[in-house]
Amino acid sequence: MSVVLSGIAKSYGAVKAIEDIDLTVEAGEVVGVLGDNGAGKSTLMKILAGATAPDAGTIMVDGETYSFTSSSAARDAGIAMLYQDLALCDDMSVVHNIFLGREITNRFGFLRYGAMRKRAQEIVNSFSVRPFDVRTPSGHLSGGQRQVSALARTTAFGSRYIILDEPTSALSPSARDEVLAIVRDLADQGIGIIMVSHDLGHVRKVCDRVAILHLGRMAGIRNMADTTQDEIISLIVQGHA
Amino acid sequence: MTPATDNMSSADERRAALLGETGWRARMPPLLGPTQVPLAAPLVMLAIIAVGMVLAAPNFFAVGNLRAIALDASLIMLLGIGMTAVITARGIDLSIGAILTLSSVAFAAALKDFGLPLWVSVLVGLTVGALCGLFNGLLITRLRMPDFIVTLSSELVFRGLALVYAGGGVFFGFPEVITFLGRGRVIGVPMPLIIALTLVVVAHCIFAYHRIGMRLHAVGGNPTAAKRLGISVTGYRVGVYVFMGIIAAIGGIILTGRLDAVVASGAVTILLNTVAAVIVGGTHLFGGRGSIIGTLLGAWLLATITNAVVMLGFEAFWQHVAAGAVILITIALYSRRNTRAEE
Repeated sequence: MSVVLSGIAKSYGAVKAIEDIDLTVEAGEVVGVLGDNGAGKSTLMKILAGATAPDAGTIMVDGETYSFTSSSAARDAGIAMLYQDLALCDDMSVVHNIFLGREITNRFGFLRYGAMRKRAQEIVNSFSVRPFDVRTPSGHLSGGQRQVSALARTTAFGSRYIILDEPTSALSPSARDEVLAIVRDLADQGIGIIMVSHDLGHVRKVCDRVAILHLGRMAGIRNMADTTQDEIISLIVQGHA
Repeated sequence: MTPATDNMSSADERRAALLGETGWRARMPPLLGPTQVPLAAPLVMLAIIAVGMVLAAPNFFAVGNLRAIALDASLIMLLGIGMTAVITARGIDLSIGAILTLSSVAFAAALKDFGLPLWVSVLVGLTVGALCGLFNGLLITRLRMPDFIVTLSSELVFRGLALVYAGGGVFFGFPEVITFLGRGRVIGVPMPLIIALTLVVVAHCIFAYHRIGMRLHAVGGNPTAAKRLGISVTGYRVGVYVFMGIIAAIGGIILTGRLDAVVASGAVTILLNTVAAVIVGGTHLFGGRGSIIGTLLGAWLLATITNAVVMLGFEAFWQHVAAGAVILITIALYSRRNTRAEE
């Protein structure tokens, strides 16, 4: 069970955003994706999430080859992305946010609110954080609770691989720890996690492996246990150790 | 059951109770829909006016006067349904008066000039309304033009077309069915109110409890998020303008029945009253938060103020001053509330 990216390339006009990228993420592992600004992290994640089509290369999910034409196609294949801005509607409750686009309805399209609310509360309670009422509008939640709500949405529909874009940015230290604990929990449940981050400390805390991009190319993939902070920084800055 | 699981289950139950997860309340959707809309302001205003009028003009509550208020409120209420959908989806339609007029002219022309059967003429009117909405929606979404500019311009285009066809003339003498829709009563209740309230109930159910309403709120609240979640933002935005066009056409037919005439230069002030009712009813001017029930209250409040001014013996021009003041007070209350929430 894995996601395998092979020979992925993408250009915007004359600018090569990423070139010849190979990356494998196994179920149940957390892979950090690091790189300087403009290294191609966002482009790679957008391709994996179905938001952008690659110019070349293939994506295999659990042995099957896909060419995603939309985020919905990627979600149907089991890949969900949690964007840095969390993509929450602040005026809507956590229940509505979690089920937005995949509502539980009767055959006439009317919402089965009780079922949605029950399921949303179960998911939020399943995370190792203090439970909060899922009827609360997202705009009234703390930073950590908003992150949990967005994570709940990505896990609510059986996603097997989750892409997290800077999941700990703009969070308080305690909320960061909570979110990192959730990331580890999800991996322990067998979900493959790809975590884009600028914070090396957080990557070292939860990731099993780290992939480093430099100027659109893969500079190196390392097991976290076998590498050092200096080596990672060299790969980020110079593209080689 | 062991003591340990007993304890756990009791803790779970306490937590469930704390979060309100038990009983019928857990299954009930929020009454007003996916977003919280403050209805206190129009309700308090209505209560203040009611108390004031009991003291100042007791015949304000005479059945005939209440019927007059209902008649005035019903058209604003009806158009407010469409406008609530448009504004919730982060749009605005300034062309509703012209759509109402053009679709009425089309209906009247089909019936009077072309001799088409009544039901076909009604269909022509509704189709013209829908096409006007489609025109607005496509310009806004395909050419990415601002809603304000597009609908301001199309107001001129649609009204101009109505005037060009009607040539300043008036259509009058419509079938009894049409005048019944505008002037008739069922058990003493005016038909326009029955039509408006029926549509309010249907629209509220869709808006608050249906997948379409939930997605509409998301399209206005966070279009980027909605798009990422696979919702057709463009489809919804075009859809609300088409819906608005159809609602304006229905309003046109009711107004035609009420006046037993179609005047191409009419329905000029209906826009401001409709937008005011929607905003006073708590719908957020910049999208993402709206309520059909709030719009109903807003329409009723505006019609009540207008009527109260007349009942108190003031000149009719004071109606505008009173309505404007109430709108300003309500918006000020909402702004204060929003500022507090942000703090």
